[in-house]
Amino acid sequence: MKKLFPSYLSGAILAVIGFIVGQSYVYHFVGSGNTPKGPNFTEQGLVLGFIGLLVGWLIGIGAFKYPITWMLGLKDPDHEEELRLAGANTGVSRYFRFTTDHKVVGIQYLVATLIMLAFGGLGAMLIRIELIRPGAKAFPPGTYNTVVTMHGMLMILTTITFFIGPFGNFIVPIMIGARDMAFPRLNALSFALLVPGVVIFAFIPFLGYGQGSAAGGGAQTGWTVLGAIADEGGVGVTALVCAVIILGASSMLGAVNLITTVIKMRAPGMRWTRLPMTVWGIFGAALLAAIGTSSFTVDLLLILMDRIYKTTFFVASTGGNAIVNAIPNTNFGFGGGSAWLSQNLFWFFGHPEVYLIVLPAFGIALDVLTTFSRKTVYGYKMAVIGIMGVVVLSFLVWAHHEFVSGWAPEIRGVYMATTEMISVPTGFIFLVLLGTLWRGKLWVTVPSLFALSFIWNFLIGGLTGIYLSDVPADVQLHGGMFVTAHFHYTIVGGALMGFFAAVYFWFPKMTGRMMDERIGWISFWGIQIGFNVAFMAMFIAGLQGMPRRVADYDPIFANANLVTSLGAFLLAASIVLTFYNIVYSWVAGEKAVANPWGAKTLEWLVPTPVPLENFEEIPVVTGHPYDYGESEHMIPIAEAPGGQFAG
Amino acid sequence: MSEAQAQPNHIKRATVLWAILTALALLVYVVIAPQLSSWGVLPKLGSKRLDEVNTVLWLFTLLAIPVFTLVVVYAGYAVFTFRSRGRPSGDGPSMPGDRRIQRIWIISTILLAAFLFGYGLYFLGEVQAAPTGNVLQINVTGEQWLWNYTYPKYNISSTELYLPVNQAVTFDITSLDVQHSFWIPSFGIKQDAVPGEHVKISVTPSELGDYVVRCAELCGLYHAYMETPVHVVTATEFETWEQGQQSIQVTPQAFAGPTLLAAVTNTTRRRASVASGSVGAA
Repeated sequence: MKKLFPSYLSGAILAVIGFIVGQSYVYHFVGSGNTPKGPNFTEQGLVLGFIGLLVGWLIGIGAFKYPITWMLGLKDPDHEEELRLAGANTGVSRYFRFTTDHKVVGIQYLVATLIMLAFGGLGAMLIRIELIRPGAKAFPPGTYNTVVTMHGMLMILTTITFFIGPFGNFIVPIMIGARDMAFPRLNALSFALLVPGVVIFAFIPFLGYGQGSAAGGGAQTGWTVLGAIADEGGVGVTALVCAVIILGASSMLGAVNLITTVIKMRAPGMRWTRLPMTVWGIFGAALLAAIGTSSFTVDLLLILMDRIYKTTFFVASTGGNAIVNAIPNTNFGFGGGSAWLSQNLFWFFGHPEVYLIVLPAFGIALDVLTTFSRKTVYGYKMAVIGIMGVVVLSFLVWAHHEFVSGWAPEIRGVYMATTEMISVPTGFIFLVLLGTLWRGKLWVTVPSLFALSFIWNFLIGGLTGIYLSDVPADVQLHGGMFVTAHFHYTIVGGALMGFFAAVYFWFPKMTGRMMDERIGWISFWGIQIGFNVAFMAMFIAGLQGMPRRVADYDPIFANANLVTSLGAFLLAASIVLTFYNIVYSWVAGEKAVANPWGAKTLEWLVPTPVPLENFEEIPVVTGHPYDYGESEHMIPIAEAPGGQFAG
Repeated sequence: MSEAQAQPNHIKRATVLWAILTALALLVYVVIAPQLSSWGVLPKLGSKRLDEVNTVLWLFTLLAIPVFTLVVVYAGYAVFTFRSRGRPSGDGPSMPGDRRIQRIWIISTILLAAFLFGYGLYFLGEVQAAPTGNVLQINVTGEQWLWNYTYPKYNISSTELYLPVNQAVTFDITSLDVQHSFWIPSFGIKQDAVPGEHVKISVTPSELGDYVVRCAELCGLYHAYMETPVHVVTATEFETWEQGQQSIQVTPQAFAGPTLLAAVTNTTRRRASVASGSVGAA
């Protein structure tokens, strides 16, 4: 019993109980007489069920144990209990419970984000199967819309998590010479919130059928969840909103923790000017997550209120649509709200959010390329100013998503200016990347290849973004496939390539094993060819005038879509190879030494596997992290615990 | 250092390579750009506005090509020339950053951004300018999942858009339910239809022919099928059509639930006829 509680198993059991209790509370005690039985969940019942699920889960995994003993003044945990909570001497089981060690949380995040990535990719494949030929032959439009919504939202949730989660938790504290995150319990909680969020998200495709809803089943809102259509949608939208509120809370908690850690927990001598670029990138992303996500959470809460309490934040007075008004319990078309409010709240999060995704990739590409070309970062300050410049400017550009919305057309020029301005700090990163490569003795490995592909792909994503910053061009291209291709170039071509670079780069440190080089090469080239073929063709579909998120399309777009689908299948097959590589290498890969790449940042100077609390003694940092070609090292090599240099 | 002597040579070679590749790419682009419309990469031209948009795309591509080749050539040159076979035996040279190059880079990116902004602002003025003189107003109401048009001047309404050629039109766009987006790719115009708001957008169709209006904002179940024909006709043909509509006096239509599937097949059929150019006759 002691082993069972607290663990993820007891958490899952209590979550199921909590969901049923929340549901039946509405069904049998507050539900009105006409509440239907069976799988047609009511809004209110569903929300109470989700709250029950969340609370049950958190109780089950023991997240409330210490806060409550503290609150009641029972006793403080002693050091031994803290160590047990951190997972000392508990083997594999520490990965399946509420564990505070940042490395355990990092591994949990890595596995979770890989699973989310796999499901998001599955959604992409379903989309490409539907679009391979015109005619919506694979599945009906309602299913397609739900798949589009889930693919978009899941991928966004994955990509905002897959740097801050795995690498922000595992790597960053060691990089700055800390023993753990600033708030280890909060850290464990942010992962503990991710799990129920994803579980609730998985409800979406099964909800909302048979209600006579004009919007059909699932959640057909797109990941933008614009107010008007979210208000109208079936109960699947409620699941979407609840899941994303929880995941947003998880993201904000993780971000606040990381910000505090980077500010307060740096080792002596680890000045701001000595922070590795990865830390800068993830720090910038955490700032964006902490500030931006709150805006989206507000948007989602207002949608939830519109849906449950029949408020009218996003319901304008239009006189209504006869069909929609025929549906019971909708107040559609008779409110005093504004659809533009939702767009503003959403994009105030939505645009910083894409930089949130890509900033860590800037840092990681720089870190990987300095390590493998054995050269210092070309213009460290320029790179830092570039990253922080993007952080600031990214909050000032959101209205470029509303160039065609009709909202405040007189300030379109201002947003065009800020949007074009953001290419300047982004350009800094490119100069630094080029300068770092120049005359470097680049060791061509899978991580360095992925970092190089970041340059090519993100460059295309950035340049096509400039087309969209221009109002007249955007008026034509907005809402079309050109935009879809553009942001896939930034997020897949930029961030996902950075993620794979990071996985191949830090895998030896995180798991103690090397990833297979040969599978990595095959996977890399498949990914590059598949990706570029797929999304170059998508640019053409966009120029031709194909709208986004359509289940069916005019035959004039058939060729471009066929090519996109074929490229996407190659891309997916190659990503599956990397997934296979991860699983295979984790189990049977070659054992890794502490510093297989000869890197100089602190995480490579601790032994592999990294001991609990990382450092026996907190290191004193005496130099720059990238002093390649100079005599000094970041910390004297003799003092590096377990450090070994191959170079 | 011997390396220091070799360095200018590499820079020069990479720069020459960049200049050659850029010139080639520009040449290829300038040759193929005028063909893009006839190859179907750009929509069929229906108004001067689309022509202007295409000019913007053309200019931006001309500017993007040198930037793209610059980054790719220097990165590629560095990788192919300086890379080590296998694990490097020593460190690369210490290059903490050259102030002069950084300054040149910053100033040129700022200048480029400033130029794009100025150019965009100039065009923005044209886009936002309301046409003067004799303007035909058409009220557009988006609704799941069709467009209803009313012509206040003639007191008629229709679910298909008929426009007289070379006549300035102002669309007054709104929505009855969720957000839609009124997009005529061949005219280069797009405006969201927002419930409770009326937004105006103007265009002058300049070529006779049949086009389509597509919804460009996910608006629920049949978003993909919210696509209806646009006919640009001569003034006399328009008059005939308008007279005919007078006698019909259609009331704004609703996309009725039970007939959804029939409507979908109709749209698909219509789409096929748009592609073959026979919709005007039908």
